[in-house]
Amino acid sequence: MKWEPLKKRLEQILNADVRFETIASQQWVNGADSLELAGRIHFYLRKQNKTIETLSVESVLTRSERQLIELMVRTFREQDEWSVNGRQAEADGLQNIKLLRSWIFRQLEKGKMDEEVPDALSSLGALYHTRVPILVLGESGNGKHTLELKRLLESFFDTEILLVPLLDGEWMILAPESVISASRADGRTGEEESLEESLESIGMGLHEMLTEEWIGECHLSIDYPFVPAKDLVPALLRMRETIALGRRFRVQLHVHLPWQLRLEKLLSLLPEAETRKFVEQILKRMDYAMDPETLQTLEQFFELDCNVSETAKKLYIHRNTLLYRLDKFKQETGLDVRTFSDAVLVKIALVLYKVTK
Amino acid sequence: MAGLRLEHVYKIYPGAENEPPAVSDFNLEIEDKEFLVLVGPSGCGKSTTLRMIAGLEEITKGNLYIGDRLVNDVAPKDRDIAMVFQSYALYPHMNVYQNMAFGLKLRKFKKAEIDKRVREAAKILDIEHLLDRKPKALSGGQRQRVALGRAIVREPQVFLMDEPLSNLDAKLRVQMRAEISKLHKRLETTVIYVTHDQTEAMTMGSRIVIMKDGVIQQAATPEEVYNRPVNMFVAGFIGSPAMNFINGRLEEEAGQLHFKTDGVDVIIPEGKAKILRNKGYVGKEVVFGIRPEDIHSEPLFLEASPNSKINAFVEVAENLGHEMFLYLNGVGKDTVIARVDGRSGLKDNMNVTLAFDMNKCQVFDKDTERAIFQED
Repeated sequence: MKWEPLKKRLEQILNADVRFETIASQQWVNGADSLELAGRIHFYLRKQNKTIETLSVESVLTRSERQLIELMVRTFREQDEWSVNGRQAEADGLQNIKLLRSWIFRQLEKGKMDEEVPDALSSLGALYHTRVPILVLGESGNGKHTLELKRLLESFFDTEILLVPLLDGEWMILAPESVISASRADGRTGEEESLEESLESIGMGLHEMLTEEWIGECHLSIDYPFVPAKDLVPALLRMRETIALGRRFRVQLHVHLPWQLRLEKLLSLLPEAETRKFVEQILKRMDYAMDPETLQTLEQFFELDCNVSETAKKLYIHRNTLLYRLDKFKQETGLDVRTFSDAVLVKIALVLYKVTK
Repeated sequence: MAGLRLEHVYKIYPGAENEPPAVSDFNLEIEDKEFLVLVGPSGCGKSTTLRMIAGLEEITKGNLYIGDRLVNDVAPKDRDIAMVFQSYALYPHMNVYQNMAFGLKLRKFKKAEIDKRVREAAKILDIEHLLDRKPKALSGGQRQRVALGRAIVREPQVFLMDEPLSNLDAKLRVQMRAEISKLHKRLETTVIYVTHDQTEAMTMGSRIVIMKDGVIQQAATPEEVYNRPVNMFVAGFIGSPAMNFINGRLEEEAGQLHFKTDGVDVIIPEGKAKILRNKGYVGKEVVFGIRPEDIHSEPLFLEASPNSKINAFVEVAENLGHEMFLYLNGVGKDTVIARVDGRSGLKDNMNVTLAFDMNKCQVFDKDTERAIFQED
């Protein structure tokens, strides 16, 4: 809080000489807001070592004027103290976050995944309660915006969160478990939403908000709730892996969920040459199989559990048109995706094709 | 509200420098309050263009102005735009009111102003009764309205919509299509709308931009695009069933210009014939284009059009009640589709005589695929 504007304003209102002064603290009556001394009224600003800093006015004030100035100075003083304390708290919080970040990096360097967060970071109480972990990967740098992002996220979730800046443009969010129940509770719907569905809708909503209100396009992964103190580094690695898999296998998506990428995770372990060979063997006529219409038809067909009616409806085509397309695919490749075994082969080939492309 | 200007905009993805750009030399001025539709097949660059306008994709080359402001390097949140995308997501832990109010709250609007805007938007979208519900308790159509509401309350300079109806069922799509058009008229704002659906493009846009392989093919009103397509791609893309293309030759006979191919010998009207002669197409192979509804079966039309009659065999007749699609053989090499009256009495496996409305026909250069009548 700067006192100078207040001093000037008082001078204008009172049309009197207003000064900043320092008096010995033993001259001050403890707890008093003002004191008359040597023909001037001193208003308490702050204590500095063994002195009191004051704002002094000639002793020509009425009783009401003196009380009003006391009230005003006290209000300003309290706001200033609150602001300084608030900043201090924020700075303390940031310092702890920096320590946590350094600890995570050290663990990653050492390859230690199973160590608990040290007691020195116990002031971050959030680490000892169940949290929903979210990893955000944006395209812009993170350093100077972390506080702003924290405020945005707390406003979004309407609760305190822990935000850990990691690599450039990468943040880990630890949100309280209550965000899950908040996204479920309504009482109007009979169906119970699964945990995965709740987490997905939180991830989608958060991505939408971050895209529109913060960094523009970003990738996001959300994982199952956990206690960070015990499992922080493994959870981070899982989410990093999920984003990497999602960006590799599902390029058009930005919210990546581990339970939707299980097959991709397994297939990513295959050697590239083997992958290429498999795709070529299965989709003999690649040019045909990978034309946009066929690709879209097959992806939709698999997404809707090989249900012909639902797929036709979703694609806005007649059921017979869909059957014609599937028959044509069978003619070209020898694979009938309406049978389970061929559907599995084609599904795997489609997943792998995107990587080999 | 504001117009937009895209000046020679390119999008080249890192690592794809040797491939054709995803968007190439996109040069367009979008008027204030215009409803512009970007349409084209999958991979044509329409969504990439929209995402560059939104600030979600970097512009590789060229300039983008919103109003008079160059916004190439402006963050999405500072562009004064609102987006509704295909994969729109509501904030699941907030009710409808909070979903719509959140953006305003972030921008530090006063509570009273937020309340006013949210309630006004809710009234426009007919979701006033849903304001205290969570997204999970809403139907697909209601969620879509909330997503629109979230954009409306911002009162942005430009609305960007990328296939916002594609997650809705067919019936709801038609309903929401009309509602978005009404909304545009009511809000009097600039809308840029991406779709692959030509019906949406035709019914909603005050102007349509048809794209293919990252390049604008034609930018014009729906009527212009339908009646005067600049090339075969546009002619084939807009209209359902698509325009028929028949390969053949233009021949001069007794002072009249004929288009001839297997089973077809029709006379080109004099005005059009003059253009074709002047451009040196006599004796050359061309592509003749005729829309299904410009092939007639009515006796009166046949009587009045002795120079454009054709004989064909009806392979399949699809009667939809008010109209009938005839899949015809014997008119050039490929199947030709005619759209005739549902009460015409025509059936499968019939030999029929029909006639082209030659005033509506198009002729395309076989090599460049450009529409000859539309060329300068």
